[in-house]
Amino acid sequence: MRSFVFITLIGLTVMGSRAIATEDLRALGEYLAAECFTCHQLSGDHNGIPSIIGWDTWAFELVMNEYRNKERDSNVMQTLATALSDEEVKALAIYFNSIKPKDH
Amino acid sequence: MTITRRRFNVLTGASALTLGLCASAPALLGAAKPRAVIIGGGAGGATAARYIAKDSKGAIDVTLIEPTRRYYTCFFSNLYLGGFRTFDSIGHGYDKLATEYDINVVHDWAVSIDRDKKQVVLASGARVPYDRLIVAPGIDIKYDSVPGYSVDAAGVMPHAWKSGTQAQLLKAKIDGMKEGGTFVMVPPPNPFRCPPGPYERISMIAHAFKQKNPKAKIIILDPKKKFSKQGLFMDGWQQHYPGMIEWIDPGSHGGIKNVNPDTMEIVTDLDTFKADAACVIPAQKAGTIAALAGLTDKNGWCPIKPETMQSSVDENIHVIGDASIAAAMPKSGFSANSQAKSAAMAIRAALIDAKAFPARYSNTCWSLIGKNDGIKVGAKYKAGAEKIEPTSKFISKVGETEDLRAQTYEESVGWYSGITADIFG
Ligand SMILES: Cc1cc2nc3c(=O)[nH]c(=O)nc-3n(C[C@H](O)[C@H](O)[C@H](O)COP(=O)(O)OP(=O)(O)OC[C@H]3O[C@@H](n4cnc5c(N)ncnc54)[C@H](O)[C@@H]3O)c2cc1C
Ligand code: HEC
Repeated sequence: MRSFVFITLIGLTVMGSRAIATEDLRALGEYLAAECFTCHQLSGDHNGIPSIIGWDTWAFELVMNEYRNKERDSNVMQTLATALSDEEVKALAIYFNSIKPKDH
Repeated sequence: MTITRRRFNVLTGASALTLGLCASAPALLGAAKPRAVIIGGGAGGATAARYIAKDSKGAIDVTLIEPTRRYYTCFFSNLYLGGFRTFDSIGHGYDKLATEYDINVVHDWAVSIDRDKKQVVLASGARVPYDRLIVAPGIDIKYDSVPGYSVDAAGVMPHAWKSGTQAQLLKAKIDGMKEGGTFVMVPPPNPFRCPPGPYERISMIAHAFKQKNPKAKIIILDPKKKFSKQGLFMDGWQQHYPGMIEWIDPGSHGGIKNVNPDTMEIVTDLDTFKADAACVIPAQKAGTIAALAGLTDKNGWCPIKPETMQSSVDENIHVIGDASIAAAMPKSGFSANSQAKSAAMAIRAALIDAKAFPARYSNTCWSLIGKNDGIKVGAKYKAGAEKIEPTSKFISKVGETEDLRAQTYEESVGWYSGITADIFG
């Protein structure tokens, strides 16, 4: 027990608020992702709609922003993406990055 | 760098857990787990059960009440009629929900809800207590909305608006129809489950006839003046099945006066149609358990609060899917799946203080007109103060390239795999 508290304190000092924000964003992303799972599978399996798990966050955000700006075709994705804020896109990117095929 | 960060997360995770347990241990030891009960293991109910179980990680006891052991989706049942899907491929079991998500799947009918005691009464007589209840029974058929139609008539002129055996019977009628015969459909009046469904069904029946019975005719006696994706369907029928399909609006037939399963006659105000095979889809209402529990309005559907899908008459009950009045959201499997997630989140927030985010709703309905010719209509919605409101929408267009139509069909195949994995695990 004591060692846990000790490590937590060090952790908090070292990582600061940035790490906590990332965790919060991941939680937001996990919630938002529920909407995606009607079409994109958590397992990464796909037949007709591409897999979106385990992507680098920058690539994920880039593609999502292309849908938001209507620079990339797909009426389904444009409709969903334009309803997302910058923060929500980031949150989704962090969440989907954390999902690896082997987790399932 | 990655290693350090991951290790850090694991450790804080563990310590947070330990601290959390210390703080809430007395409460956990004292009281039983809060209970969520779901009536109906369809697109809405099974999704809700899975999401509550998955996201509460064992902190909520989840019971799913569903009489059938295998759920045959209505979605893609038209593709089964058209020969694009096998019957097996649209059937789904509850084994994963039971074994991987620890949901107590009870194969029984709910026959009443004791709202004062917060208990569901089963056909077996058992009582299942709940802290929060989800009512997701889908639709029931209003047999008497079409004069002459009945439970017995459904054995001759199947509605097939609930899947399973009815869909198999309809397929047998289509495949067995005499050469050059006439198939008659009576679609339902609004509001009903799956607005483009009857017209996708017409397309798939026409596709089956085109292969094996090319001189067959299809007559649609519609009680509605217009229907979902009408321009797209009419254009597609012209291209794929020229001369085979005749859609007759109520102005031209004058209204359905009677259907007779013995003579196979369908009598309208202006004419009598003799069918060799028929599909009659009556008006619909929320699954009967909802009315028995006093959750329905005068039209037979359940009013809800948009943010949480809670019943307007009982805050311990959420109604999702076809049974609910979700305003602009059509009665679809996609909508039911979307609504289930808002209800599941609201229930976790109420029972275990989980964080609640604003509700998000969306829908897309694909339809197949002919081989590789898919179309779709979809929208995004928000929870308004009074009702669920659309914020943006899209629809396929007449004259799209074959490639785009083929891609749209491919998408629908991907969606079917996706949503069924999301519903049944
Ligand atoms: C031909 C056709 C095509 C369709 N195509 C599409 C499509 O392409 N895309 C789409 O999104 N939607 C489509 N739909 C609509 C979709 O099937 C429904 O909207 C969806 O199933 C609604 O989900 P639900 O959970 O409300 O009801 P259901 O899925 O019907 O589930 C209700 C469940 O509750 C159970 N139940 C009922 N009463 C009780 C009781 N008293 N006790 C216990 N259990 C009970 C039933 O056995 C059933 O399993 C189509 C429908 C039809 C008919
Ligand atoms: C209604 C079905 C549907 C839903 C729901 C959906 N998507 Fe998509 N998504 C698609 C389709 C179809 C494509 C392929 C579009 C194309 O051809 O560019 C796609 C493509 C993508 C891509 C690009 C994949 C690639 O390889 O090019 C990303 C990223 C993506 N979606 C993210 C999301 C996120 C995040 C969500 C949830 C907020 C979501 N999608 C919800 C249907 C859906």
